[in-house]
Amino acid sequence: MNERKRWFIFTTAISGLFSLTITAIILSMQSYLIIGGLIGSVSVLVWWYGVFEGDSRKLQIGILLASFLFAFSIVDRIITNTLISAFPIQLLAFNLFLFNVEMMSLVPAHHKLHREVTRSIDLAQRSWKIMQRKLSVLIILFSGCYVITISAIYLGGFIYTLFPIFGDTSIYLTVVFVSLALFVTLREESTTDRYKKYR
Amino acid sequence: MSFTKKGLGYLSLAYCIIAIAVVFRQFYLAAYVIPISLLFLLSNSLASVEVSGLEIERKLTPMRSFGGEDIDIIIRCTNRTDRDFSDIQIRDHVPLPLIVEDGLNSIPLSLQSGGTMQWTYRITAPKRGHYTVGPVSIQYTDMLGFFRNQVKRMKEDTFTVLPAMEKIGTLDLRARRVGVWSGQVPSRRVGAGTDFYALRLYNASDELRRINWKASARIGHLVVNEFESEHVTDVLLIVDSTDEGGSSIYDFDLTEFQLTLAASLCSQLLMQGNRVGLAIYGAVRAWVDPAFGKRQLLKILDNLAMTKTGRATVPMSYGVESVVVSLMPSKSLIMFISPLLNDETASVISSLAEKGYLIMCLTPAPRLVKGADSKTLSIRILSAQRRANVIRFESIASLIEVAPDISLKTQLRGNTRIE
Repeated sequence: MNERKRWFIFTTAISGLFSLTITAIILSMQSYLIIGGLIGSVSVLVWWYGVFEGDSRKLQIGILLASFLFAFSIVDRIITNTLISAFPIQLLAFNLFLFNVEMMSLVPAHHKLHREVTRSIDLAQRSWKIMQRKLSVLIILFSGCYVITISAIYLGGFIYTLFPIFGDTSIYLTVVFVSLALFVTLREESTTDRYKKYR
Repeated sequence: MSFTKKGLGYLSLAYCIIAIAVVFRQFYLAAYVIPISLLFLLSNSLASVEVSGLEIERKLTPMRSFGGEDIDIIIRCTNRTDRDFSDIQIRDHVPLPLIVEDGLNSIPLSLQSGGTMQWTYRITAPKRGHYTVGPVSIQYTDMLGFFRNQVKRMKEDTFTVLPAMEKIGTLDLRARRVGVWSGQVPSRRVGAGTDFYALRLYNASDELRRINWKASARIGHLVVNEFESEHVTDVLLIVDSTDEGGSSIYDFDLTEFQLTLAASLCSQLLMQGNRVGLAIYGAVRAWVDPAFGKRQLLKILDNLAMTKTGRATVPMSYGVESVVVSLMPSKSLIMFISPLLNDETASVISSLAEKGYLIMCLTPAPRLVKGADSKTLSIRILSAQRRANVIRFESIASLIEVAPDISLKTQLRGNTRIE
């Protein structure tokens, strides 16, 4: 399979995944489905165009429209107080949305190598290897995130039945996760600074 | 190491979600922060890049380009560490006004331990000059690009874009002073050459083929032809690149045209075996001692490439005359390339002519403009001033007006013979 064909299949798959994200967001909405469908269609079209052109501006517009749609679906659920019932699909939509954000930075960076620079096949093949590796890591990461979050929520519910004192388990878990992530980040940064100082 | 826009965006999103969850008391909403915090956690802990063992080499071909010739830049990266590099961004800095014509100066790179990667890109420079490319910056982020770090490697490499040259054909020069080596300039002395010089009586040692039989029959004695020997001569080119504001009368780039003219003349004069020197007078003052050969041509072109138009810091009488007198013996040929826009040039040329130098002045010709609006009138007044200078020069120097839209070969043919 030549590089262009492979790239075409890849971009088609990415675009399909974005369509799936928009579908998941629309499915998680309770009302205003037609408006949601319209916005979703526009964002899918802009995204498809952006992916095939390798144009990061269009991809950003597509993501912005999708984020607006997602926020709309969340607000809709908050107003109707039905957030819990749509939680798994909304969380799936959220994970897919974040995955698409990753694609938004990945596609334009490699687009030129596959579509415009035809004289260096070696470069295109290396870029393909980088993408394969990154894609597989991202798929594992986001699937893991989804599974861990769902498990955390159900574990929270289980703990709540046993110990009602931990009623707000989810927020507790969240704060712990954010603090841990920030801790690791800051530690990494301070280690680098110290290393620079002694070098 | 600093947060990228993406990292800041994710962090803001996480805190927004927490705030909304707290405000609306929808604690399930806060669960959306878990994937974000997991991403931060894993992205940061999985990535650790140390690029000190990454060797980068840059090669420029050619180091000197003539006119619009492109430069190929080859970048070679070698991973000397025992670890693999993945997804680092290598970017070779290409400053303005250089243009990347073909290929990429920035690529995402992944290298296995001991692996090598080489790629080429092509740049072009819009005009002559000295340019630098580099340094190479290696940008690496954590796995998902929440944090960024950048290190710079390699020094800049410099290359020169030399002025464009035109073929101007053989220059038919006359000189009052010639060198000892044979060349193409008639010396007004008897010797080996091609032009007839005189007749003399036949000697026993003369070759028979040099006997002029018709003249011998007329005189009644054997006479032989004598020829004028041809030698090399010393030529100094003076390029006047001062800009006193009068260059507006030209509707083309005056400096570039003058430099093309100077480069073409130097190339041809050196090719004809002459000893050629150069003096540049302008914002940058430079001179090259007279010498022969290809190396001298490169030296001259290098100096022409760095010419800058602008107001000169020292008077022309000092800046040019002192250089000329120290570089060139009297009676040498001096080619003055100047737009002849100021009176000082006239006094310098007069002074050099008085010292016995043979002066040839090549001046770019402005286009005639018609009209009576203020701008056109100012151009016409400046053109009239220049014309007055040209008339003054005609009595003391041989003057050639050259235009950019006609080939130099046509314009110089037969006009360079001065006595």
